Amino acid sequence: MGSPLETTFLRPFVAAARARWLPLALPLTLACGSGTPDIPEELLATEPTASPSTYPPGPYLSEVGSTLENFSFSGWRDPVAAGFDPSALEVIRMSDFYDPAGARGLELLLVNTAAIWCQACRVEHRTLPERRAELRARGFEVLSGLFQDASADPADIQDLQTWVEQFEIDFPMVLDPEFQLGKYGSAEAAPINLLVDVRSMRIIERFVGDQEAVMWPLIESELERRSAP
Amino acid sequence: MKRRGPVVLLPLAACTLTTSASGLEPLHVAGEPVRIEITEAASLLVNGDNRDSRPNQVSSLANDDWTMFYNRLNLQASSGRWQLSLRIDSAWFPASPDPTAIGLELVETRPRPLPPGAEEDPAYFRAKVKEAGTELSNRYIDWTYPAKYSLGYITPELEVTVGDVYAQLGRGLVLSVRKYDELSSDTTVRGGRVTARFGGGPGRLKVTALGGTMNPLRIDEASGRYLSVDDGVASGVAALTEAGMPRPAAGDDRAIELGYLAPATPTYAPDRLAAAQLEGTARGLKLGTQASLLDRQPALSPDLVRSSHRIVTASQSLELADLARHGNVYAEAAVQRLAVTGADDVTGHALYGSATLIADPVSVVAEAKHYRSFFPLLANVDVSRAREFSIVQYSAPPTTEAFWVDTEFEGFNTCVSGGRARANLQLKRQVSVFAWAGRYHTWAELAPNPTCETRDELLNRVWDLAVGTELGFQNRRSRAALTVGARSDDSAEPFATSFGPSTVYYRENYARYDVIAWLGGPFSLQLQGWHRRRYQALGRADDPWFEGFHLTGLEWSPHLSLAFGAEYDTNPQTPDTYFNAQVVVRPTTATSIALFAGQRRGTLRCVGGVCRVFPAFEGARLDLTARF
Repeated sequence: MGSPLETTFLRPFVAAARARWLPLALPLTLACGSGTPDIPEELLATEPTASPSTYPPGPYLSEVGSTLENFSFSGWRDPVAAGFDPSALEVIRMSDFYDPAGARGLELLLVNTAAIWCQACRVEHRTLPERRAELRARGFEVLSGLFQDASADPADIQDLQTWVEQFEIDFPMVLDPEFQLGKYGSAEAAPINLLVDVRSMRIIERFVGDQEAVMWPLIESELERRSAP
Repeated sequence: MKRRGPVVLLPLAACTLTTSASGLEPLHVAGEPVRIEITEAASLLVNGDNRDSRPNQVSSLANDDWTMFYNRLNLQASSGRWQLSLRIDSAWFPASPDPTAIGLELVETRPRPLPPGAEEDPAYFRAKVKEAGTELSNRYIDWTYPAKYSLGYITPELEVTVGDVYAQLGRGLVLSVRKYDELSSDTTVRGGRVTARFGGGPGRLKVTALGGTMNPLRIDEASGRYLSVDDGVASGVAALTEAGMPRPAAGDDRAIELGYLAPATPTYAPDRLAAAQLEGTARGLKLGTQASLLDRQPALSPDLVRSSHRIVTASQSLELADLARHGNVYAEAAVQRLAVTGADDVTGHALYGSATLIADPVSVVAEAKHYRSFFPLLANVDVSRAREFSIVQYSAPPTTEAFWVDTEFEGFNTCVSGGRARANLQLKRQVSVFAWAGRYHTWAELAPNPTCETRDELLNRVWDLAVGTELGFQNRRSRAALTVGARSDDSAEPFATSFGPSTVYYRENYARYDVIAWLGGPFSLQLQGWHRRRYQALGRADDPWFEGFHLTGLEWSPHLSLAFGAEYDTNPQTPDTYFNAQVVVRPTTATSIALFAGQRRGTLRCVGGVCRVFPAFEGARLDLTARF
């Protein structure tokens, strides 16, 4: 890749930026560059921008302190209540948890990735429903995305159904077969846990692996800080 | 920040076909001869499609189609009591994956029909290009940096070294920084070390003190990723010790905003360490007291060890090197205290012992361990962005297992009791048989258990058994070693698997062999292999699978080696077969040229309990090593 500013990939972008053509920079960068493949026209649609009233605006970076991207998934808000019924699947978005004024009674969201091949994910999900139940009244919520099956292929609805039944999941759990949450950590690093402030949807901390010894004390202290007068 | 080091160093690499390893002609400084030795190790790695690609997964595609020229230039000069060494590493990537190409390939291979709620192709493409930009932001970037340097003054009584030093105190419970060639890992303390020896008779005393910032190797040749520091994490002494080391790739702010590149954040925050050892020897009894203090910055990837801003580890050791010519004994007891940021402190301890007993023709080596909340000193690395460096650690508590064992899962060694005994029976001068039995109880394999609660629901019981033989023929010009073994790992209570509750956690049967047959003159044939039948209830395939390798080599000593390898892995997550060939030519005693071409499977490789995952490799690799 070379030094980033010198890559063919970014060269058109940098040129555009210098010429104050920033709005054109993204498609230009994608489309041009001697070492970069051409982009088919149909993939160059403009990036939609979120309305600040429904979700905080970007940029949506992957680092701690960034705003979580408003992903959209298919899943259950409460798999137990839905009877693990595939016909009861619904679209769940990150914006469903955005709570700028506290109207939903939420404070913190734990965004979690899981895969069937991932032992640490299984271990984590054995206690996650119980942990979430203990803290739910204090404004804590979990959203978990199952992204791969035992063979590391994209998870499907049957995998999700087996998973939520096995661990009796009663918090929002979704399918993420396209691994949108891969933005925050590679598949090999699963589980990834992002602790998110639902007032701003900013990522407070990112944990790689099942790091219960430090993650739960942080969640406790964040909830305590928020409930302090 | 880009430096074209390799271009400068290429001519040096090209003129390294030296005729001997005698070193350069001595210079003279102040009347003292100065001996200079230069070792040049250059590697060209051409990586193709390593067949690990998965639908929708950026990281596996980012492993394909890259070329790396990796150069390690070592300069050593010595004169009298002085020694100077410098190692400069350079990485240059003539070809590397492109985020746009990755995005396009993922669109093309995107499973269809799309799942409910999925984004349309343009949004999917844009997201994957951004993700690829982040993944590639610290991979395949050219660097030249001073990997190691030191200046030493050495006398029999006093050794003073400034710069990079390796260190192992005791058996590695307190401190162990060393080089693991097999794992592409090489860590030192960059600072200084003083060792003083007192007494020359039956009683001797050795005092060692060292300190500085930790210096892991920054470029990973298996992935092309590098570790970076910036001024925010490298201030004070670290500003000096980190001078010239790789920095985060600074991208254009707007490009970052659009998600093409991750912000220029460091992936390593240099850890500070101070350590000391006092060793006294009298009448064959050696007593050692050793301690280390690891002081560090806020964790880049929070976990119990990395989130500890201070870790103190201390131990007392005792060694009887000669039990009336019938063996030796070693014992070490250690304590460790982790001051964890934002959580309660954790205190742990470790007991380790080994004994060798010899009564011809039988010898027995026994090792035992008892660890409670005792953790390896993990480096402050951002494992979410530099996962290949997650193995960097500054201590290595003994496993008591065979050094190649890779089946201590999760936190196995942090809360464990057990040991292994190996008995060797010498039947004839060149024929021996051996057997070992290992038995372990671990409470940190099924689940993380930092406080080391020894409840049955967390307990796994492990047997590790093996028998084998070592044979010599033709005055030891031919030899053979064969080991067959088995490992069973069961939980005390049933745990949930995808096919119902089970207590079977892991099973393995294996055979290892290494045969060298002398064919006459300078020719020999080598057969080497490791074949395994494995079953893991969690995390891998539902059914047992086979994996292993066989290598056939032909040696024309010392000029030429040829080898052909075949590997296989029936786990459904991976391709089935891998083939490769290697030739090593040694035109002189000081020069070797090795060419590897073909495939290698991705694997977990371990050395003494320190393990890392290597991605599959497909392509060619040329290595040139020369000393002059």
